[in-house]
Amino acid sequence: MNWFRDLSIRLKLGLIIFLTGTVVLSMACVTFVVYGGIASRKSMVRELTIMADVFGQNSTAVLQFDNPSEATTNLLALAADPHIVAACLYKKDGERFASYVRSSAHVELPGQPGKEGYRFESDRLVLFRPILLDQKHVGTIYIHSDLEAIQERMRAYIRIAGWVLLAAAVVTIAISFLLQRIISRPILMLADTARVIKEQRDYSVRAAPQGRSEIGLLTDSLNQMLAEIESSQTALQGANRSLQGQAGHIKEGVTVLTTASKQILDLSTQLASSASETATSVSEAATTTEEVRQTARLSSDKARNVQETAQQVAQTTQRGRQSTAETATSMEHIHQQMDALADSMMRLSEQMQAIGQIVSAVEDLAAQSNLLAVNAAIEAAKAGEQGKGFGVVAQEVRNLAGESKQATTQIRGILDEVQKATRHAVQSTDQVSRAVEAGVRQSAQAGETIETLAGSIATAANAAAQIAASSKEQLIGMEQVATAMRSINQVTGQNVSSAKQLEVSARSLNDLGRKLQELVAQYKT
Amino acid sequence: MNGHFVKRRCTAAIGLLLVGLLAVAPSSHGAPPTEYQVKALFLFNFAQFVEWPASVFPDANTPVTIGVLGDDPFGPALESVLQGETVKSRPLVVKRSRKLEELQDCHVLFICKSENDRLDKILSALDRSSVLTVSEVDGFAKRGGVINFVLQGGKVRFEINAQAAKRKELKLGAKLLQLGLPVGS
Repeated sequence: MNWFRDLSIRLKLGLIIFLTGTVVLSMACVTFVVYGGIASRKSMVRELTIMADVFGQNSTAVLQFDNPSEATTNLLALAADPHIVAACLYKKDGERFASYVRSSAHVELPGQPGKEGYRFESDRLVLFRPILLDQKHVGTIYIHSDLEAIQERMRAYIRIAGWVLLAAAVVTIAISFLLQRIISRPILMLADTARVIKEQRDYSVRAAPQGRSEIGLLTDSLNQMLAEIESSQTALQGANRSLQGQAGHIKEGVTVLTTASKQILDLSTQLASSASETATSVSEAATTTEEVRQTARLSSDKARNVQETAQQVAQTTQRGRQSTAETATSMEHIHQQMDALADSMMRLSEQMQAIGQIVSAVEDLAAQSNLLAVNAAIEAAKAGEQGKGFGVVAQEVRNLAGESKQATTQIRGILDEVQKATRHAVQSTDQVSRAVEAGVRQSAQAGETIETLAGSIATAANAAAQIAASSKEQLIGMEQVATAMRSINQVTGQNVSSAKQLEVSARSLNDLGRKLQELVAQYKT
Repeated sequence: MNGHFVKRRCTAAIGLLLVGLLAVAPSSHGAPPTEYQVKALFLFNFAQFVEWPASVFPDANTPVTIGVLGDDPFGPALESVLQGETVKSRPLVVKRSRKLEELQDCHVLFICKSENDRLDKILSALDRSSVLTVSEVDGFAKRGGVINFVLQGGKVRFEINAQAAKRKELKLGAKLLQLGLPVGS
């Protein structure tokens, strides 16, 4: 039905009116034709009945007076009606009395009168009517009529109806297309106005008022709407202008936003990585702290150890003092012994000298022996075989001389050494004496030093105690630090994830900024 | 006519007639009617097709009188024809006489052949009265009688003197007149 919907309103209205008129008229025509058909039949029956009755009445005399020839003559009058095909008269005893058959027809005439009344058959109407004289039944008349009249009339009706419809159609078309203008013209004008508005986008156009009908109301509504559109368009244009002015600002702002967001993005990326690093560092720091803690514990332990050691040292110092005193005493002893020793040394040295002289003698001996040996060897050699034994002896003497020399050398060495040693010893005793003196002095100093040391050690012990205490505090502190480091570790872990989220957000902000830029770019400046 | 009512009455009438005819007139069933049976019937028919002025019927029940003047040629046929019949719901009565005076109030008067020589006198006496004069002698109609039986080809026909009827204030039905032979044939 879309094609109908898309027809112009004039055509639609025209068609509707036309169809309405034609359909209604067709209905009326059909009704009339049908009714006409029915009425024709009824009237035919009535006419034929009247004719039969009249004729019957006219035939009472011929019936009564038994005048079939007159009756037949009378029946011939029916020839005037070309539709009457046959007719018969029957006497009251049922005997057929007279008949008429139309010249061109070949029909059967009933031998007996049938039931009173009429009967429509396919091509005929037959009728039996009683003939009454003075209310006495004196005979029956039979008429057989063809249906040409009716059919002719129906054809006439249909023909007329057809022409009427045709004429009506033409007239309806004419009138409808004239009358549709009443409806369509205002609508078309309105449509035209709307089109003008649409094409030119000019909302100052108004449609002409059309009175108080629905079109008029529509027009008024449209005009109102246009006025509103116009005013809102003006407002819109103003807003648009101010918007455009602001769009520039927005654009800048958006650029800034984009830049800022980009920076934020970079920063957040950095932050994320820094946070990661921080996390790493912190975890390292935590580890380090842990180590420090361990170290602190150790130092604490060590301080404690120091403290204990200091105490021990203090004790030791005390013993040292005692020792010093003993040392001084011993020093005196040593001094005395040193003197004794020095004397001994002197004697030793004198003895050694004596030994030395001996040794020198031995050495000379050895040397001379050696010489002798050598000469002997030479002589031996010169002697030859005989001298072998001598040589051997000479060798042995040599050897002996050698050994003696060695021995003297050794002894000399030993003497030297002893001498050295003695010298050393002397020196040493000197040294020792000096050392002892020094020692005495030093022990005195030592005693002082030890005193000082003792004092220092006491101080040190206090210090150590303080160190231990502070180490403990340090340890506690380090524990706290460790705890803090763990929470920092946690926090930095959160920071990392936060930094990552921040990165994500910064990214979306960046995207937003870009989109906003695009949006603003659509706005003409 | 009310179709339904008429139909019922007709059926009844037909039934009665048939029975009546069968019962009363066995001779009419099968055997052709005699001349006088026909004439008797025609007399009855005349009564049906003629209108008398109101004066001859003082009241509603006054019978239609058929008189036979002279030597009755009908015999019982007249009664048998008229048996049970009515004319416009008036009963029918038959009177026979040789004296005109006794038959002056008849509505239909059949003048037998035997009265032929006194015919003019009879006719002039009845000239103004509304009696339907019927006979069967030649020239009856010419001499002033209203209806005269004639035999034509073995069939009973009749002449009608319309003027005489008019004079007598008798209204003869057109159909009757139609059937009547022209006077003088």
